[in-house]
Amino acid sequence: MDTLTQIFELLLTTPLVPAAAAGVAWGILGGALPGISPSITMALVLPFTYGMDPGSAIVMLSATYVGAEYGGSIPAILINTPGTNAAAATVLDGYAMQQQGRGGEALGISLYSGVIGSFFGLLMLVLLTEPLARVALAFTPMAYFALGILGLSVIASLSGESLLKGLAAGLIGLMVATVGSDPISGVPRFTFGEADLLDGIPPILIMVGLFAVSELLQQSSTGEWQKADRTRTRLKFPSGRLRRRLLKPQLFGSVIGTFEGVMPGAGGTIASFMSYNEARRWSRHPEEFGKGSPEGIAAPEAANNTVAATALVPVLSFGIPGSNSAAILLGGLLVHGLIPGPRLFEENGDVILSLYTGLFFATISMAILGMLILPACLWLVNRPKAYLMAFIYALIFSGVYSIDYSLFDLALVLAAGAMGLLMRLVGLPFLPTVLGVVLGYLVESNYRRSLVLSGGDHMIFVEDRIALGLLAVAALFIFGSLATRAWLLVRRRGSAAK
Amino acid sequence: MARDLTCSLVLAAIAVVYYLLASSIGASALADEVGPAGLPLAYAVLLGAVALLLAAKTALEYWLARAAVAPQQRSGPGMGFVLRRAAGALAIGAGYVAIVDVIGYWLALGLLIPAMALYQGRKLGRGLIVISITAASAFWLLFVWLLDIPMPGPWIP
Repeated sequence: MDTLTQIFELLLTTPLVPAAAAGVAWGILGGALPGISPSITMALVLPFTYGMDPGSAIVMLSATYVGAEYGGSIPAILINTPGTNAAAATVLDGYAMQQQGRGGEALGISLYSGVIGSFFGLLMLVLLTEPLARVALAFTPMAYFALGILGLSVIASLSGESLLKGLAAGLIGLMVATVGSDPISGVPRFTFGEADLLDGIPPILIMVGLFAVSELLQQSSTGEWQKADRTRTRLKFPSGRLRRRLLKPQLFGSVIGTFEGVMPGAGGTIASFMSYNEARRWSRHPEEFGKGSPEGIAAPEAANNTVAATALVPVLSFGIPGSNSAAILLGGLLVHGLIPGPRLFEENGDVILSLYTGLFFATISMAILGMLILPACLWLVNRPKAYLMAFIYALIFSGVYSIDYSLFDLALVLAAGAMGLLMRLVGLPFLPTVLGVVLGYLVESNYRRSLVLSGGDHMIFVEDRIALGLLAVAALFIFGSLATRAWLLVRRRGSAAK
Repeated sequence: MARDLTCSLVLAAIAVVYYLLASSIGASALADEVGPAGLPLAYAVLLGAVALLLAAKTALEYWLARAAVAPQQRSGPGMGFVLRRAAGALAIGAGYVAIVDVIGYWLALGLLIPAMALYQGRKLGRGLIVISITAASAFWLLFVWLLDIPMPGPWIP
């Protein structure tokens, strides 16, 4: 009863519902633009959250994530181009349905399954986050160091085709995190006499540069997007009979989405392809998959929308972002002075309650706005790319300046963008770098504090049981990723030999 | 092959420059056993090692696949073209940062938007000018008037 009263109070005193609706609308529009990922959409909405209360700000960011996951399916279905990576699996059957003149039905299935996935994800988020965060109450500096290493161990599974490149990207992030005053002695490092660098480089600037600016720079060498046919498409929700048929793939999507979202590094793309595969395997009509199967849309869309909620579990509990979008959300928390972990639940319980309530309304908003906003999405996709790119540039500059009113920050974002473009060109993944930037300070400061406590004896990390447990999990994670990588390599070579 | 080799060279260069900079970090009486340069130096050495391993792996793969696989046709724009186009877009952004404090937010945006649109292939005409002025005004209204952000520059309408 107390909680219900608190929720009503929050709804009356803070703009939670407008923030959720605005976030979803923005997310759908951003996700619908090919090349503009959920993380970029979230980075672009950040400046509008600075003036808000922390709860509404976090709601707006996470609602953007939820909306972008649905928005990504719109160009996937209509023009065979996924708006987000996670929508790539939706292309397979969504575009086939569009070619059969069933594009509106495909969009309806996508929206309906996205709403189911979002509600399921929200339930899992509420159930899992706080118990996990409670574990962190007993953390010592050694345990925090081990937690940082566990976060970094995710790099092994985030490295894409090359583990070495993933490691290199992670090290670059750790190097960026060393800029500023030394955490123990206060000696300035890599500041080049620049006072603006003494406090280090805020992770959010690196994220905006890497994701948004580098995308913009790369887009400057590509042609126009494919245009969508605006005359034929009208969203159509599935009938009762079809809804019953979609239950099984939606359940697969939601369960796989929960597992993949909670596991740092897995993310929506893997979840959607895995659930697509499982839905086909257990379907009564596997022959329809790839030729316009409604189940082939329901499973991945339920999965990637579940991930949008469950990816927040490791962020809120431990401050470890498992995906690009989760990293932006972490940046948003930090900008508002909110430190993830158990204290967040004790000292800022209202923010957490706002987040849960806001996500609930965001999901409802998605069901309504998903229908209303479709014409706007089609209009936006059909605008000249040159203008959209110019407006995004203006939005990035205006938004980044709004953080600290600093022109130096704009220069840093441009530098990070140039670094991001180079990384794209040589095939270095971004997320390991972001993890390095976010976790670098945590790892270094707690490693050195632990050694000060032990007089330089590294055995302190083994004697602390939580630290030992976390390091063991990190080792398991690394070896598991390496074993999976080796198995895939052997299988690929085997197939090539055949 | 060329991309991975370029990658390893870039990484090696970063490792060397970062190592040299880390070596020059000043000492402190408050420093602990590891010291302020301890982890940075370790990161530089590790990155150097990763760069070497990547170069060796690339060379080995090239040697193993040389006889078996025909060179693949590159699809999409080349790296040089992408870099040149990106450098232009970056220069437009740097230009905005350089002048915004002098001419003000509204006017700087009024130049940034058409510059970027022209660079992306739009033709100079009345439409472009109208869209640029409208967009700059909309941004000004949103950020300065609505969100109350003190945007840079002396000349704000």
